[in-house]
Amino acid sequence: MSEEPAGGVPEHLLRPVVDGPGTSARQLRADARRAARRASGATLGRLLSDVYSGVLGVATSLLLLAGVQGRLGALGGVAAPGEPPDGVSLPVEVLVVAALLLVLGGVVGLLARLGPLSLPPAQAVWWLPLPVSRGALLRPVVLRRALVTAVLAVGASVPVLLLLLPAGGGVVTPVVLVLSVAGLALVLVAVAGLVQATRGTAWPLVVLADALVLLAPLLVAAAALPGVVPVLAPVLGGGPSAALVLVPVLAALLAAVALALLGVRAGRVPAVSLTSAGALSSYVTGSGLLLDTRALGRALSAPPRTRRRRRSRVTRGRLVHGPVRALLLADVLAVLRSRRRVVTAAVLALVPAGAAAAAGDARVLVLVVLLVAGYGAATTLAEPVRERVLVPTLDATWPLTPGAAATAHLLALAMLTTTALAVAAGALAVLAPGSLPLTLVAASGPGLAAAALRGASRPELDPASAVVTTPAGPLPVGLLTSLTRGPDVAVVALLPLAVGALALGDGQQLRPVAEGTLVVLALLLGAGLGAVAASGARPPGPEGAGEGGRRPPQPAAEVTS
Amino acid sequence: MRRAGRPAEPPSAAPGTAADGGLLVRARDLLVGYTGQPVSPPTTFAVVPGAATALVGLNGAGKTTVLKAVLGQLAPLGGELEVLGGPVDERSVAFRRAVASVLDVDVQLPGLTVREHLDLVARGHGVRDADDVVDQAVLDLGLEPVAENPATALSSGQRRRMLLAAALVRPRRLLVLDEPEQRLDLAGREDVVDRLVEEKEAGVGLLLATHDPLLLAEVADEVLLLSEDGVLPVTAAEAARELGR
Repeated sequence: MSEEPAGGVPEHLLRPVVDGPGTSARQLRADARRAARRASGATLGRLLSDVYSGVLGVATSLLLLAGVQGRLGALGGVAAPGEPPDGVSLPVEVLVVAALLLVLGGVVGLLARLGPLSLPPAQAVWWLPLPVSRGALLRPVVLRRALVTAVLAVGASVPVLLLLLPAGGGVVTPVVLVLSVAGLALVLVAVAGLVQATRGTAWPLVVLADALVLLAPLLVAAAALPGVVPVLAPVLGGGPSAALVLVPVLAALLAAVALALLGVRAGRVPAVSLTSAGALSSYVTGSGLLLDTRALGRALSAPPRTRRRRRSRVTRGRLVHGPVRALLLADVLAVLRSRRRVVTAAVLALVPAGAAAAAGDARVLVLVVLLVAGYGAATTLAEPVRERVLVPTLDATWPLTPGAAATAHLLALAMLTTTALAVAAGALAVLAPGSLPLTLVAASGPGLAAAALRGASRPELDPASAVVTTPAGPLPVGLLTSLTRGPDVAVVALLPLAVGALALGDGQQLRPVAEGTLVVLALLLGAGLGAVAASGARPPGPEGAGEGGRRPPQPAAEVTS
Repeated sequence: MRRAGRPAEPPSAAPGTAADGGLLVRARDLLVGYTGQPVSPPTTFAVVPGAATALVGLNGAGKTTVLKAVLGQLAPLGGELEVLGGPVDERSVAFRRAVASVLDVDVQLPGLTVREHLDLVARGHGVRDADDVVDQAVLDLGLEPVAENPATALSSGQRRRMLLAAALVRPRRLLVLDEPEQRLDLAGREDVVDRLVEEKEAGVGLLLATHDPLLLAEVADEVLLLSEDGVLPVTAAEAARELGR
């Protein structure tokens, strides 16, 4: 060593050289790639198998979609392009615009929440303290994010358009629409990156993306209102105009400029932002691979609020006394104070009305949409309960048995879900009167709450468990059981509604006695399903206490292994 | 204004009050560990009302594991363990009503402020003058400046204070604390010492694991040193010396 040690520390360690020998960004990226290859242990055979699975999965999906091309338009409720819609039918253009808004908002919201620039935790620990130009390290990340954005936007738009646009309509319109969505998504994600470089977070773009998502059902709802369609028709009607063709061109130009700017400014993204976004990305990837939608929802929700609140007296009301009421209020506040949960539940509550307005008399389709959207809303509202099931320490704070705590969670969930379904019923009354018996829709709330509680209390999948090879790739054993835990009860909970809906004739209403009987049946069914779900929602017992969380019988004064 | 939450009234027929000499915890040759492997030697100790038993030892000595067994979060591997005069049943209402604890896990009700969290804990236990009790605990533990902040926005030391306050705004006969000094500044540690001394005076039994000489000297009545060689009763000064080595 040539340098004179200063205080025992070699001189070259005290005077690091930026991008000096052995610390260039290019070399670090190459080292990271080598390390990743070594760590993955992937063989050529496994790589080919993965590629085969991926290609097969995509091809199968496209073939399935090709088989149902234009099916939604063919259901009868959707008016074909250019045709004057009648009754509550919606022009297909409205549905296409709404669906593409959902895609655009979804893709931009996802990427903006994940950074959009981030580094995986291991790379962040390795790279960020090094005296290397951060911009040079991150430029490939920018390109990868752009690629991911484009793939997601195209991958989500194509099925939507295949489903909605009538067959035989040519390829120009779909191609223009897909390219427009991809271009706009690229622009917005690049802007999100620029905001991240300035403020450390891209949250303003997340809010914008959420607004686009919220706009979609509102657009459908507005279009379904009497008298609105004729106003919209001239705006939305007709084939691809020159102005529409310009959209993807302009979007591509803007995206190129924004991405170039982002490449220049990527080095300004704070380390803490890259690290936290990377940790979040890893968590989201893990939740996605395990198909844990609730964990995914938690990961993608707003960052915890840090602002001081105005002093509230909601927890000091006279009625808040005793463990059940305290727990119930805690659950309700956890939902009401999360903007994402409220917005998601509200959007999902409006979806059945939009579907009913679009699908006209296709009552089975509306029922299926209500099942999916209603269960989705209930699951969103059950996210705090899922947290409590996973971390039972909080419930143990109160003098309640685990069974009583589960019942209290069910009560809170039933109140919230019934409110969401009452909103759904209200929207149906305005947009598609007569499509479903409305009191039965609201009365299905307790049953769906029971289903959501059952879903929230399912055991976590063990990623280290055995896997089964399928055409879609290797899947953990027990995945199907885990995925159907919750939806199975939701199907049962909606049976009274289904009976009532299918007994309805066109333009008819159920007799009051029949409707009343079915409402009582739905409520009783909800209570029964709730009791079963609550009994399965008790947290496991102490570690090492045996199967199913039950404590092994203990003699009064002795505990032995 | 009341000075924090009162200790739990023992139910008239509650076990662990008379026949066994009022022991809150009785452990004899208690063996704890994970996946069948003990992490500490067999441990014998007792916790009585109005006194504090402290477990000390180096990292990994098994202090927290013993506390988890007492709280019913971990099944013992062997020996005898009674809490409130009977086998540990952390799922029973009587146990949850009488045993308060603060372990090294941040648990907070989502979406609530510090004061709201404490309100719901106190009111959930049916504390009659809950508002006064909560306000006093907020003052005592120096939480006034952050009382209207979301619990998720607190620093680690402030979160620790909030968790301690949550244990003190509810009724309790036994208080189990895992390194209550953790993440607290000196003033915070002194606040905690004062509060724990008051707890003892009010008749609450304390079981704590700690590395803090101040807590050992001011609060502990019995100190047990957990080590590879066994479990030794030591004085607070001896424990402090042992930990300082």
